[in-house]
Amino acid sequence: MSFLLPCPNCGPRDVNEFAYQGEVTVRPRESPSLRELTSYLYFRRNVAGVQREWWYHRLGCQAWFQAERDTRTNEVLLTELPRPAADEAAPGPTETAVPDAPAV
Amino acid sequence: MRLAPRHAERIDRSRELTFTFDGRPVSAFAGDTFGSALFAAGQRVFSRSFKYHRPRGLVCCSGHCPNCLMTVDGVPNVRVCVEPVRERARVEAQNVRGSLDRDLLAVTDKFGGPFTPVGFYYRTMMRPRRAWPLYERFLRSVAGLGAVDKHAGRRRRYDAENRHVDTLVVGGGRSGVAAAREAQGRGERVALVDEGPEPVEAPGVELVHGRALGIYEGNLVPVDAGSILYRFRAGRVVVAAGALEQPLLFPGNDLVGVMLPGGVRRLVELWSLKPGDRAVVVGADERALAVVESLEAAGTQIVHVVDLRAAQPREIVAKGIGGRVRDVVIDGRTFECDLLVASGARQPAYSPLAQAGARIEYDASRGIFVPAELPEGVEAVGAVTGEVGATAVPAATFNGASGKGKCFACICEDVTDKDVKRAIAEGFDSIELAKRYTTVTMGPCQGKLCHLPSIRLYARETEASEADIGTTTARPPWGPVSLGVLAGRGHEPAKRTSIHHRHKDLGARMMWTGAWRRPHSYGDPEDEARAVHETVGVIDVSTLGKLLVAGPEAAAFLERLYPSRFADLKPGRIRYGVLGTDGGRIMDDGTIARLGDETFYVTTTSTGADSVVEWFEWWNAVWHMDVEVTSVTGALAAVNAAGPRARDLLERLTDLDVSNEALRYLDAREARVAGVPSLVLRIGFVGELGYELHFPSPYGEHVWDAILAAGADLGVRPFGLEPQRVLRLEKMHILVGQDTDSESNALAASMPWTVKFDKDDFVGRWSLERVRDQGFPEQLVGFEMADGIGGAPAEGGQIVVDGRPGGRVTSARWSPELGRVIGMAWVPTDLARDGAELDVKMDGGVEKARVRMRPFYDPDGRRLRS
Amino acid sequence: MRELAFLSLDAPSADALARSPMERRLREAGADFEVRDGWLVAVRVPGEDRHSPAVRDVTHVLSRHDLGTVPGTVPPAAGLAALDVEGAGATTLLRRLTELDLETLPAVGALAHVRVWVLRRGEESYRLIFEQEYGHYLWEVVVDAAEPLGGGPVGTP
Repeated sequence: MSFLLPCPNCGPRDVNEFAYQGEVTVRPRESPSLRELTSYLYFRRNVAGVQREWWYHRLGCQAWFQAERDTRTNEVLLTELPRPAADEAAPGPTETAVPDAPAV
Repeated sequence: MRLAPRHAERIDRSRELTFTFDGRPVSAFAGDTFGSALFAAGQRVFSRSFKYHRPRGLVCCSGHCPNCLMTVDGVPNVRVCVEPVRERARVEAQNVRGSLDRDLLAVTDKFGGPFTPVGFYYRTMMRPRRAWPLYERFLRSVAGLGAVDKHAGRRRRYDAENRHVDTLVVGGGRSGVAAAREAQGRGERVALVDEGPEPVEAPGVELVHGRALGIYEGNLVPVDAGSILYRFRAGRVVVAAGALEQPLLFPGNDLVGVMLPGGVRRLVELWSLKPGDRAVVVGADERALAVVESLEAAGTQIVHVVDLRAAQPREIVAKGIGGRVRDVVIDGRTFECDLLVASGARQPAYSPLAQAGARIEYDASRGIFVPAELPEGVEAVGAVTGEVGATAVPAATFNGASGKGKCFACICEDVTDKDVKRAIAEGFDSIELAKRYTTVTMGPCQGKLCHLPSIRLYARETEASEADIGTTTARPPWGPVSLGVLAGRGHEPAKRTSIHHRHKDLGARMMWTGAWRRPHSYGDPEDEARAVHETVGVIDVSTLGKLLVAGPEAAAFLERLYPSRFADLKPGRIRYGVLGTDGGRIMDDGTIARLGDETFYVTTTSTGADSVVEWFEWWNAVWHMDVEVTSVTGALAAVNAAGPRARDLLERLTDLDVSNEALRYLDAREARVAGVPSLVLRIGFVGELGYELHFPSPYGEHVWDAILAAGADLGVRPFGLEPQRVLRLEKMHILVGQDTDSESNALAASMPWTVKFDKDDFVGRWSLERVRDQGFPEQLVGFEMADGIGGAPAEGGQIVVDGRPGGRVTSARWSPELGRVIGMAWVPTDLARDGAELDVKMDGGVEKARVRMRPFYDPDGRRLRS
Repeated sequence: MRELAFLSLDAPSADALARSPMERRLREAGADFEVRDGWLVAVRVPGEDRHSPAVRDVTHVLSRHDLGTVPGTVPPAAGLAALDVEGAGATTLLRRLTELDLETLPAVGALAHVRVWVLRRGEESYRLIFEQEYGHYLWEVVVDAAEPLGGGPVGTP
């Protein structure tokens, strides 16, 4: 991997300056059911396409930010610092990763 | 022998240089390559081939083919045809037993032919199975080319150099130079990379002599320049890599004296050499046939010319003596010659473009592959785009009917047309599979001279079109590159505390803990541990992670991150905390001191410091609480003084009232120590009365020296990590990552007091609630071995329950203080009670041990509080 | 008790000597030292006249203000150390250690795998600021990179 990731503070930098922290997930609001909890903790959508994800500019400004990246091409569509959300929920996709019924 | 001076020659006849070849002196002119100088000295055989050890001579004189690989000054596989001569260099032939002209391994060519087709060792060397190690040793000794110099890493220096340009042009031909100058005119930062050997005329443009190895993501183009790897980041890459002359397939096409037109032209024009006395020329386009002019200028007699555009012969057979071409038979007519210049169409050098993501199409009218649909930021100019003019499409082979003599599809790996046919017959009918089976395109030329001819052969044998066969995936590097160039200078970051050199002065044995260098011990771990129990010991704990958490919401922030409570922690007091994930897993532990209503001082494990800072910042990137987290890990040095005389020691260094009433266990105070403003934390990881002193790093040696001087008569002793590990085990203090793993939670790790369910939501709450309600299958406990057992079980050693594996040891040490082996282990929960008997697997069998649920040493913590 | 004096380099007693993490390496290179403003400072290094690019320990004159407008977190001054690299070859030296674009300084980024603030002080003159625990390591890396270019350590006269 050698793509450039545009840090919202520092501009485009080699991806090796950053730490990748996975998809942006949504933490359940309160006392989740077992299904909601395991879905939040262990399941990821793992899309082949554009996904919203966390990055940390470890060897640079040390800011956390979010990026929209195409997982197939490593094309980075946008990066931005996380916005304060009015209702405290993390910004990001709202779909749950796991369907309601087990796909047996 | 040189020709009369020519106007474009590169040699400077006034400057003579000398090098040795296999021990004999060879003279050369400045501007020569080793290859041209050797040719001038009469050398014609330059290498022995990979498998059959056939003699091979110069073919391309452009650094593409494998025929001139030699060892120069100990560096193997140097292409001497493009390597500039150096005074006193030592050049040696490689891959020979004996000499280039008499190679003992050439026997494989005579007898091995029918028995050593591709993949022969998979079939013929299978039995008996036991003999494979012998076969393997033999194969390894005869396979491969030059021998690697194992000490090269110390003898040669390789650097990487990063460059940023707006436009990078790859290829210094006419179109490349034009593209570079145009970008230059726009005021861009421009560089032009060319691998030679022709000189590049581009005044004003920065030239880099080297080979572009590929185009990586983000337009990263590494350029191999010998001892330096330039890493270009370019806004735009313009590929002007030109086109590559392609050899023809006919019996004897690898004989010494069979050359490509470009190679012949370079010998004449650059180095004023006469390529041969009598030449036959076979060409498919104007450019190839124009070599006749160079040959005539050099005084070579043109014996016969075949223009493939006019008519294609059915059969071409080159025959030789001693591996050197002597005559050529074309459709029954024999021509005596010592040079056969033969080439098909020129194939655009599209590989760098394909690597970058371009689509490659087949142009049936000219029989070549051309790039299409270039990716963003990558452009192509000149011959690489397919501008190679009109050309004939040569036949796949010119074998005719006789079928005698080897006809090579790949001279790098010695793969003949028969090998390819056999691979197809065996079912390797996709070009990607066949490539891996036959290894065509996998040798030093990386397909430059064999890809197109082998596709053509494939198409004919499978009765498919070249377009359907397609190309194999192009991958970097585009040419061979030495591992040293790729590795560059090894940089392994090491962190050192500001007291590091004092430890070295004291003879400490250093060890790695994460990126830190820390003292293992100063020679006698047992003595060091005894000093802590009996007098006072000091240990450098500067490596502890240290964070300042400050702001109106600091307490609330920590309450959300930790399962512990901090709102009720009074300023000046300290509390232990276990940091967990939302899955309830332990990620780190440490102490939290409240320095003020809105200020907390948090310590973490030495190896967890960075990840804890990142973790705090991450959660606050979502929560946006009014709190500021500052890492002060490196800013502060820290020393822990512990032992019954620790108070006496500290008293001598500070004005602070250090009495047990004024500075209680788990108190935190700011004070001057040895004249340096410090934070004094009274805590005890090692189980004795102890103080942690935190102060600015630049004073590390000053404070350390002051402590050792002030405590000399108290018997103060520095102690290292090893005695610390024994001491903490006596107190049953866990080491995160040693006694816990990524599955451990605080309840099962026997620390339920650190988890407060009667407060608001915190990270890990839901998971820990489930653990609490459902129980856990195993628990972390202490254990002591039966009397008389001196050896400690291994970390990870098995706990045996009812004859079956039931748990594992995480730490175990001999404790001189307790006179027995103690440790910690994960055991089934029903065994997690004081006195339960365990069987522990050891080297010599199974030994008895007993579970202990409370610290082995000073279980009530009286000494800590004294 | 929120004074946090223990994070400050001001006001230690007169006998408390501050040391840069590179002090020992300079000592091993045969440097002469002087005490200046409470710091032990290398003033001369044998052979320094021949060194270009010159590598100079400037931890004792470092100020967090040097970091100016570079975005991102900065540790307290006590946690920082600094080197100046100057003279012919300085740019080449930096190019061999960092992928930062030296035409867009100041910046903080990876240099020899470590987080470093890179500041420009002139045409062939740079200041590198980094976390002090990497001082020893970076000194070795920078001096090693300087050697083939004809550079080496110098003192602060």
